[in-house]
Amino acid sequence: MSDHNPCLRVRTQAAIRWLGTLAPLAALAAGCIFFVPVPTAHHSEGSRRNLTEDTATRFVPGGATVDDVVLALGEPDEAAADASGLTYRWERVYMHLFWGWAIPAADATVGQGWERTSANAHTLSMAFDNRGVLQTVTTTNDKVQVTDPP
Amino acid sequence: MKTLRQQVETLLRTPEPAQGSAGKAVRPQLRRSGGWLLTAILLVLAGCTTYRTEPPKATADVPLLAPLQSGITTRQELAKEWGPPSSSLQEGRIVFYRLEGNGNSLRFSEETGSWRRSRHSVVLIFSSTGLLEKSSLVRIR
Repeated sequence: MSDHNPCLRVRTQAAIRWLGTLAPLAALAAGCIFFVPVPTAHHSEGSRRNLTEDTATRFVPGGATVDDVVLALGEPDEAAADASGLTYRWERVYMHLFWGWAIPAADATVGQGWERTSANAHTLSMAFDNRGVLQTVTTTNDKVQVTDPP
Repeated sequence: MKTLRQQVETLLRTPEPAQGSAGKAVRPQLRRSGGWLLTAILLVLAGCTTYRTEPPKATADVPLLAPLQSGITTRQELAKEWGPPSSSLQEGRIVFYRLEGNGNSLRFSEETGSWRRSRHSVVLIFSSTGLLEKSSLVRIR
């Protein structure tokens, strides 16, 4: 006569089966999955580098003119033909995240890797009246993520 | 048996390199891992870098732009000599050119849009009669 609980025995067998499936997978994957975040601080390729988040404070509405702005910041990235609005854009990368998997084999290693680049996309927009005097200054800061395919 | 504290103290002490059986210097374990630690710290600190922007320069300081003279140079002369600008505003009152290179190797750039090759923006402001009034050279990247 067995004093084992039949219900418990079934559950134990099910757990063993699960472990039997998971253990080889875990053993295969051990050390083969990588996840490397690299904090950085650089501008994106092709981005202008002469503006910071503080640039907006250099120009006072009601005082600065279109001429003051372009002489200080250079060619805008977007502008109305009559210069009633100017927009400057720049982008700073703050993180590269590398992740993937690899299985070392005898002659060849198989695997895949991805890279995600996270950046802050900034804009500084200025609106001027018909005399060319600065009226409003608007800034935006949006998170941008780009994942490179394997 | 050594306590954890004793083990840490032993590791933190940096004795002279130990001599192996062949008389060769044996590097302590902590030193060997120090390179990796330093690399990891430098990688993390890379995220803390900041940057400064440069104030605009006077165009007279740059040999390539030296011919520009306020009150004398005209828009027509420049268009003839430098070709079409990269962009302009207010029907040509404000004109922009782009420059590539650095120092003595500055040259005009035909790039428009993004700033991959061009590094400087030349800003020219003309009067209603087409005479140069103000100019500046802005380092973009």
